Amino acid sequence: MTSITLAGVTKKFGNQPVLAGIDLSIADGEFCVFLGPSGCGKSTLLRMIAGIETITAGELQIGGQTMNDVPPAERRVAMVFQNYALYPHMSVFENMAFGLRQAKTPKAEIDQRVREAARILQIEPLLERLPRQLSGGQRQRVAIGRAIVRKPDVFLFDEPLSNLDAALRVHMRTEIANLHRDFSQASVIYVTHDQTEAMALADKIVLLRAGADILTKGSIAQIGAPLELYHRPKNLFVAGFLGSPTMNFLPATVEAAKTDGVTVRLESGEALSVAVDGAGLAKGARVTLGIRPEHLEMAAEAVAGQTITHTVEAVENFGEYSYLYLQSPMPAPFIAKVSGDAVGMAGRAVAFQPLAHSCHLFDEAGEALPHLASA
Amino acid sequence: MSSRSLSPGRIAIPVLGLFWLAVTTLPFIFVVFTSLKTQQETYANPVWALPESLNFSNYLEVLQGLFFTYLKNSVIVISISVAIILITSSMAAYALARLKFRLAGPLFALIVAGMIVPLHITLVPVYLMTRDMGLYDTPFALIGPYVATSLPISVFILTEFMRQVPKELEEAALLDGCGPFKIFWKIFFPLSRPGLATVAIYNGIMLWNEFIFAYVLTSSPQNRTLPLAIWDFQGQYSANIPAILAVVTLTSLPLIIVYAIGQERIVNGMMAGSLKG
Amino acid sequence: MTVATHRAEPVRRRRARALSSALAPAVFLAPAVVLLLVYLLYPLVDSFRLSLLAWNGLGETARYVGLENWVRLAHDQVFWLSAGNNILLALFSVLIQLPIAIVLAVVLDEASHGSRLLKILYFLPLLMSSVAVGVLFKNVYDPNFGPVNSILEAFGLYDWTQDWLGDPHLALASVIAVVCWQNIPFYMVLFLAGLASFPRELNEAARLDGASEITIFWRLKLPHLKGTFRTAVLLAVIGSLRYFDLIYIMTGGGPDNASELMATYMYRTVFSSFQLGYGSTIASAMFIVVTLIAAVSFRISRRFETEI
Repeated sequence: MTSITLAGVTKKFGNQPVLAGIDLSIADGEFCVFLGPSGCGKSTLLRMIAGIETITAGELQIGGQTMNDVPPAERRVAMVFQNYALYPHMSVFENMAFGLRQAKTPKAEIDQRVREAARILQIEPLLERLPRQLSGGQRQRVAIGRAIVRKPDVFLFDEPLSNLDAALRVHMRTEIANLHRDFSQASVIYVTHDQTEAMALADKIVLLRAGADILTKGSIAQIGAPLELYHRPKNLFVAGFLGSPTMNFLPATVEAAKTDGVTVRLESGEALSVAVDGAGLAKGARVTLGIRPEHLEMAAEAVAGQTITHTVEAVENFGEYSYLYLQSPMPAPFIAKVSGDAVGMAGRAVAFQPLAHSCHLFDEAGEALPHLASA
Repeated sequence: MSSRSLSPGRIAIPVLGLFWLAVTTLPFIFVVFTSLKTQQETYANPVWALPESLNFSNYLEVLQGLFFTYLKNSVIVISISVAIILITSSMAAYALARLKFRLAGPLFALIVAGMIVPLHITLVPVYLMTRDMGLYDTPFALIGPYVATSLPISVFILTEFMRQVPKELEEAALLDGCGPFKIFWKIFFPLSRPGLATVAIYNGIMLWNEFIFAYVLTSSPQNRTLPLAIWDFQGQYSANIPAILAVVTLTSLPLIIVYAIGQERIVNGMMAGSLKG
Repeated sequence: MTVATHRAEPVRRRRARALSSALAPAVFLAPAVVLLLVYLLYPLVDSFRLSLLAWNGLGETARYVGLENWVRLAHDQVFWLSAGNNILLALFSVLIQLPIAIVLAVVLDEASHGSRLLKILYFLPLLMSSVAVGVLFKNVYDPNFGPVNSILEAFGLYDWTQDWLGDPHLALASVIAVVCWQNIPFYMVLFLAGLASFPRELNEAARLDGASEITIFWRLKLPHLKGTFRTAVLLAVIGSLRYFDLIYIMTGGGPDNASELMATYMYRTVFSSFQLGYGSTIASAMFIVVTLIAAVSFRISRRFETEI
C-alpha cells in the first residue's frame, strides 16, 4: 500500500537539468538507498518525494496515488535532515510534538506517542532540554524521534549521519537498521554518499550518476541489491564507484570472443580469460578489463596462464590486509589488496592470478558484458 | 612586556582616556550640581562651587508639575509604536527574506532606500494629514510617523536576520504541516528574538528622544512626550536655571536607568541599528 | 485509510490553499507597505505639490503659483547660506568626530583596566535627547552664568570670554562643538567594533617583528578600519545634511541666520512665518540635495570598495 513509484521524473533548476529519466519503484517496507557522487541530485530526488521541491516533469505516486501536487504534510512521509533541523527555540518534547499539534492530534495521544518514541530512542531524560544543550548524537535521535511520532508510511533520511564523528556514525547506522526492523511496515528512503552506509543498510541501492551523461543515459546508473551492484556492475561508472579501493581498469583487446567466455590480451602481452558472454564482440575490439583489488590473488609458484605480473612500487600494511601499489601504464593507481602482511615486497615483480569469473569486461561504450551464470 | 611599560602608548592611553572622561562627564556634573542649588546660589557663587546644601526643591517643583503626564505619554506612545514596528517589520522581513515572489528584490531595495529620506521633508504633509485626521494634539498622532520612519531600518535588520535562518527549519515545518503564516508565527518570529531585541532597543531609544514630530504634532502639555517637557519647562521657568537643569536631569534619568541595567545590549543594539549596508 | 483521506480532499480546498500561498507575500507586506505609503511616500510627493502653492496653512486660502516658489528659492540667499552651513557641518563632523572617535576607540581597545566602565560612561551623551543636550549646553555657554566663561575668567582670560551662541561669528562653531560632543561616542563604538575584528595574531606577529605600538596603529590598525571608516563617513555626511535638533534648540538658526540649516530654515518658514508653500519648496529642495549627495557618496564609496 505504501509502495512508491516514480515514472519519467525530471528536475531542472532553471534550464539546468539535475535529474533526468527517473523510473523507479520502491516496494512496501523496503529500505532503499540513493547513492551517488556529490551533485548527482540524490538529495533533490528525496526532497521531491518529500514535497519540498517541485517535480519538473513525470509522476510521483505514493501508495498508488499521485502526489505531485499534494502538500508535504499530507504525503504521510517524515524526514530526517542532514543538519537535523530541530527547532532551536523548542524543547525536545515540543520538537517531536510540533507536527502532531499541527495535525490537531489529541493532547493525550501526542503525549503518549512522544514518550513512546523517546523510550525507543532512549532520550526520555532529555525531553525538557533545548536542542543546543544536546550532543550531536542526541540531536540525531531527536530528529529521528520527530519522524517516528508521526507514524509515517515512508521515512526519508537525508545524509543523516554525515555530521557525526566516525565512531558514532557506525553506532547510529546500526540503530537505524534496528529501527527499520521495528517499523518494518514503513518504507525507508535513505540518501548518502557513503558506500559503506549504503552496503550496510540497503535492501536496494539506487546509484545515480552526475554530469552531462544524465542527458544521454539518464540519472540512474543502476538499481539493485548491494551485492548485485558489487558483483555485477552494469557499467564502468558503477564498477568504479562501488568498492574501496576502487576497481582497477586495464585497456585490452579481444583475442577470442565466445558465448562461454572471452579471452583478452593486455598491453603487456599477457592474456586473460574472463567469464562473460562474448556474443557481439569482434576479435580485436578494444575493451576495458576490470579487476577489483581484493580479487588480485598472488599466484602460486610456477603456474602458467591466467596470470599478470607487475612490479610492486610501494606497500601499505594494515595488519589485517595490505595494499600493494603496482607499476602500471595507467595514470590511476593499480592496487592489489592481499591478506596478511606484505613485508619486503617493494621492488619485486609479483605474479597475480585473477579468477575468470571475478573479472569484469566493459565494451567501448562502457557497458558491462553479461557474466556467465556461475557454475 | 615589562620592558615596554614606559612606551609612549602606555602613558598616552590613560591620559587620553581620562581627558575624554572629563569631557563627557563634566557637563553632567554641572547639570546635577546646579540643579541642586538655589537660584540665588547660581548668581552668587562660581559654577564649580558645590551646592551649599542638597536642595531638592527644584525637583519637587518639577515633579509636582506635569512631569508624570509627559512620562506617561512617552511610555504609551513608545510602547505602542515599538509593538507595531516589531510586528509589521518582522512580517515584511519574512516575506522579503523567505517567500519567493518576483518583486522581492526591488521592494526590499525601495524600503531600504527609505533610510536616507530626511524626515523633516515629510513634516509639513504629515502635519496637515494629522490635522485632517483629527489626531492633532493627541499622543496618538505620533504613532503613525514613528512607526513609518522606523520601518526601513527595522525591515532591513530583520530581513538580514531571517535570511540566516537555515532553510531546513522551514522545510521541517512544511513537513510538519505548517503554511506560510504558521511558519512565520511559530518558527521565524520566535527565532528572530535577538533581531527583534535590536530593533526594539534601537527604535525605542530613537523615538524616546524624538523631538521634531512631537513638537509639531502636539501642542498642549497634557499630550506631549518627555523631550518636550524640557522645552515647555524652559518656556515656563526661563530664568530659573536650577529648575530647568532639574528637568534635564529628570527627563534623562529613565533611559540612564535602563542603560544601567543592560549597557552591553543597548550599546550593541544602537550599533547594529545604525550599521546599515 | 490514508488513500481515502487524500481522495476525499475537495479540489476547492486545494485551490484555496494554492491561492493563500500566492497571496501570502501580499498579506505579510501589506501593513508595512501601507504605513510607508501613507507616512513616507505620500508626504514626499505631497511636499512637491505643496511647493507649488502660496498658502499660510489655514483655511481655503491656498493659491496655485506654479514654479514661483522655486524661482524664489533659487535667489534666496538664506537658503544657500543654510545649505552651505549643512555642508560645513558635514565637513567638520567628518574632520573632527571621526579622528577623535578613532583615537578613543584605540584607547579603549588598549586600556584593559576599566575600559568597560569608560565605554559605558563615554556612551552616555548618545542616550540623551537632543533637547536635553541642547538646553544643557545653552546653559554651559551662557555668557553670564555659564561655566565656559566662568572658567576663562577664573584664569584671568577676560578677553577670551564670548557670547558663544549670540555672536554670529561663533554660533555655528559653538553648536558644531556640541554636535561633536554628542556624536563622537557613536563613532567611537563603531570603530571599537571594527577593532574587535582586528586579528590578535597579527598584533602578536607585529610585536615579534619589533614594531612599536605607534607603528602597529598606523600601519596595521588604521588600514584595518578602512571599511568602518567609509561607513562612518557616509553616516556622518547623510546625518549632517538632514540635521535639525540641536541647532534649532540652541540657536533656532540665529543669530541672523548665522547657524541656519536647511531643516531649521524650512521649519521656521512654515511654522513661524506661516509660508507653508515656500517651506515645502525648501523641504523638497532639501530632499533633492540629500538624495543627490547620498547617491554620489554611495557611488564613491562603492568605487573605493572595488578599487581597494
